[in-house]
Amino acid sequence: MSNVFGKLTPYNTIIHRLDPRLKFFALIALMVMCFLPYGNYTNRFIVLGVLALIIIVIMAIAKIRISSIFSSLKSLWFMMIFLLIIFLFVQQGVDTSSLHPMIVFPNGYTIYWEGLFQTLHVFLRLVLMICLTLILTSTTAPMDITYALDWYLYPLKLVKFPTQIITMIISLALRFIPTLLDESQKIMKAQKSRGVDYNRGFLAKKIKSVTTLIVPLLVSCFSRSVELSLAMDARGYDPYGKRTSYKVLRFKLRDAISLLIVLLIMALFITACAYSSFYPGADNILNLLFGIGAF
Amino acid sequence: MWQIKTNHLTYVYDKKDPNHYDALSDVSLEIKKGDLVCIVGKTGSGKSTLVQTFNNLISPTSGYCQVENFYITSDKKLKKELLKNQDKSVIEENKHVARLRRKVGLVFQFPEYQLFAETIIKDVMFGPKNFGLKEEEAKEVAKKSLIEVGIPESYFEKSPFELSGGEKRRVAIAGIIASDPDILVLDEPTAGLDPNGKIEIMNLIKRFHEKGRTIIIVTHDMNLVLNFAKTVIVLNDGKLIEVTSPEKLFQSPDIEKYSLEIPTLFKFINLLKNDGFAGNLSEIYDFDTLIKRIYEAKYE
Amino acid sequence: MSLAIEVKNLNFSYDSEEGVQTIKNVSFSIEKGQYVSLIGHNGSGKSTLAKLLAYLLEPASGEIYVDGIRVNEKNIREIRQTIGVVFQNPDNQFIGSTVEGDIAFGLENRAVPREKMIELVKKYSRLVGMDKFLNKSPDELSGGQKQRVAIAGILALGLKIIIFDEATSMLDPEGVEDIKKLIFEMKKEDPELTFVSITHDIEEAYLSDKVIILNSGEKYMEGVPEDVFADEDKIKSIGLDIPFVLQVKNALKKKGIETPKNIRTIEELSNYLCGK
Repeated sequence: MSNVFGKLTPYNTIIHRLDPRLKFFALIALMVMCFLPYGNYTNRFIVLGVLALIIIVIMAIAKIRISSIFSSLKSLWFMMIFLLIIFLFVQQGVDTSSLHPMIVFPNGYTIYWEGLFQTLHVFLRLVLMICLTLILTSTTAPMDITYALDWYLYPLKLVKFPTQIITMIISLALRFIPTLLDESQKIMKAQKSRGVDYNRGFLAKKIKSVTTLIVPLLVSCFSRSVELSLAMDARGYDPYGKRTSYKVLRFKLRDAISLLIVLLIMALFITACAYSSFYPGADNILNLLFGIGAF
Repeated sequence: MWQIKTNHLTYVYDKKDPNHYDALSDVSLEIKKGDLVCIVGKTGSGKSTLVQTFNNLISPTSGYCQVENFYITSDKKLKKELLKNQDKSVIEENKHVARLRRKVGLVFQFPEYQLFAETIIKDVMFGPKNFGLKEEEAKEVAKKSLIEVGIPESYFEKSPFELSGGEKRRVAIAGIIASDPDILVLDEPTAGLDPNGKIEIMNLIKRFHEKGRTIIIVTHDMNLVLNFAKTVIVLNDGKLIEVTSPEKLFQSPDIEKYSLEIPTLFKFINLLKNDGFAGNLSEIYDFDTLIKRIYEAKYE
Repeated sequence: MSLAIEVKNLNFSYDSEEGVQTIKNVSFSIEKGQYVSLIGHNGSGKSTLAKLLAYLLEPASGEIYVDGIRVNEKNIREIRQTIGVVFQNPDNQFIGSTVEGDIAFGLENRAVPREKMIELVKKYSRLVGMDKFLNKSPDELSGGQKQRVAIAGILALGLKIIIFDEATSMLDPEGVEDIKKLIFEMKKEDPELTFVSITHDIEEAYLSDKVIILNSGEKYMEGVPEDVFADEDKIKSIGLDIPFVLQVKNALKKKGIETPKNIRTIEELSNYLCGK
């Protein structure tokens, strides 16, 4: 969990200091940019390449080590292989005549270049999204993300929706993630001392081993939540009452400039998207590789 | 004869982390069979880390820990060397970490937070079954251990979550005892209990010790050390400071350096010494002797 | 002198159908500026009593007044402005994601203006010695530090009565010492503050202004420590200990050595025995 999403790094770069609302917006915007249709594979890979470059620049500014991406990706190798198998072996679409075969098995079963490309494409998008999330979580305190969320939920307040309760729940959840992670580690160690092996065994045994972790963890969560609610009550928390906020977000010049940059980047990608849909062009990469393969 | 031995044992948390530190550095010690050992030191001194190497929950980064014929280290070259000229049976034993975990029972701090089964008896049977006992055998040993920790038979089919805090802790301890460990390690066994609960648990541990088990207790509670320990191991910042007896420890002038809490009796004796008490204050280890000495000083 | 807390014929049970009464007809009073220790075994009802005082539980019958205000649903705002609780588990009462956020939590709940909040957070974080850690998250703090933050959160609200519900029982000796020192300083700072400490520490109880002992939900003894602990047999019959200093004094008395009554700490006793 903590591996995938990263943890706030102890630096104070410009990216760290940016307004969390802006960072939140940029994250969503760039994620959407990942998912726009850019036509054929050549275009798609060029666009993702440009996006990757932008992300690498941001990561360099924010002093995020490239190696931290790999630790985030560790848990995704399995998914990559899974995707590859699906895309390679499952025939895509009804009409296979337009596809480019890569390997044809003697029994007529064919693996297409498109399958490989699609896997790569999906995986690349996934990696970029993880990098984006990593940038946000490495440079923004969880509480600041909550404040940003609270701000975006403002329209709901107008229709009397209790958004403050939702943000309180999220902030408490964020606050307790490290505590519960620590606790689950302790429980696992204790159960290992009683002979549980979390790595081995078949499904039934694995489910049983997981129970030895989940049940104690749930019990402790409940008792924690009871104590927590008492503590909040004692300190005068009223979910529907009027509250002030200690932390106030201020939109500064640097945030305005950054917003402008984000909008420019968006415009660039949207243009690319529109352009590619009107002028599809030849799929050079696919053709090139197909040509080499055929040769 | 030693039962546990550590040899230049060093453990580093998360080597990749740029600000990593040695949780344990170059610890070499021996623990005798049948001893009652307390391991003391302030928070972060490495005492919990040390006992977790005893059943291979933590594997030393360098150096090794030896429990009878088991060699525990993550240094593969060293392990190969250690096992080189050993008996076939020893090499075979070393392949099964479960056998080591059965031999060294480890009761964690707040063990009541590990209960998970729907009934008390099932929870206690869980360990023995993992270590290869059959259902009926496991049930037998579970019953025996529950009675040993003072849980009446009428409770066996109850849910562990219905019990009081002290009872839960005793059930959790029974869950370890049921696997019949030769060595019982307890991490802060009295934490969070009221005075009566503390005495109850300590008497229980004393009984386990009388049955010939080696007992190792990690604790902050110096009154417990004074009243129960035979040997004390002092750790500070991951280093072994000394292996000593409780009496010597509490009279040593160094004790405050390691932020250990001194039992009130010894605090008072030290105060008397500093205030220039006109009487003999050496070798006082209990309350009655103290009173006798004060009386002597005043009237003789 | 006016009363900080007054309890009259208080009764409470968690489950009225089971008929097990947790608090049975308890009455006592605490004066302003006192340091009172509430002792008893686990299950004696002392934590329940703390929760009743702060209106975290509702009494079945009886009356409680804090600072002259009747404790009931209607006066809940005033009660929260008067009495605060530091709980046992440092983790489960740390609500904010950082030290400053946690100190500010109670202020936010009272809709205190932001400028005032910043000022109060600064002032009270300094008072408890946490002003260098304002941006730290709870997993970077020790148990003792988290408890100090909880205390700052209460002081920042300007509360006059603070209940410590076994607030040091989960701390290591360093943490315990830390909190004890802080309480001592707070008392010096503001002699009007009233403390109710629910504790197992007999030595601490012996040094307080007043001791209340609970046993199976009933008030067992109440009074100044010298008087309460003087009845050694009565204390020991419910399995409680006698403070060390008193043990020495009593043992010496049996041998015919009298010591002055006002000696309460080992330091004083040592000084006396050494003729200083």
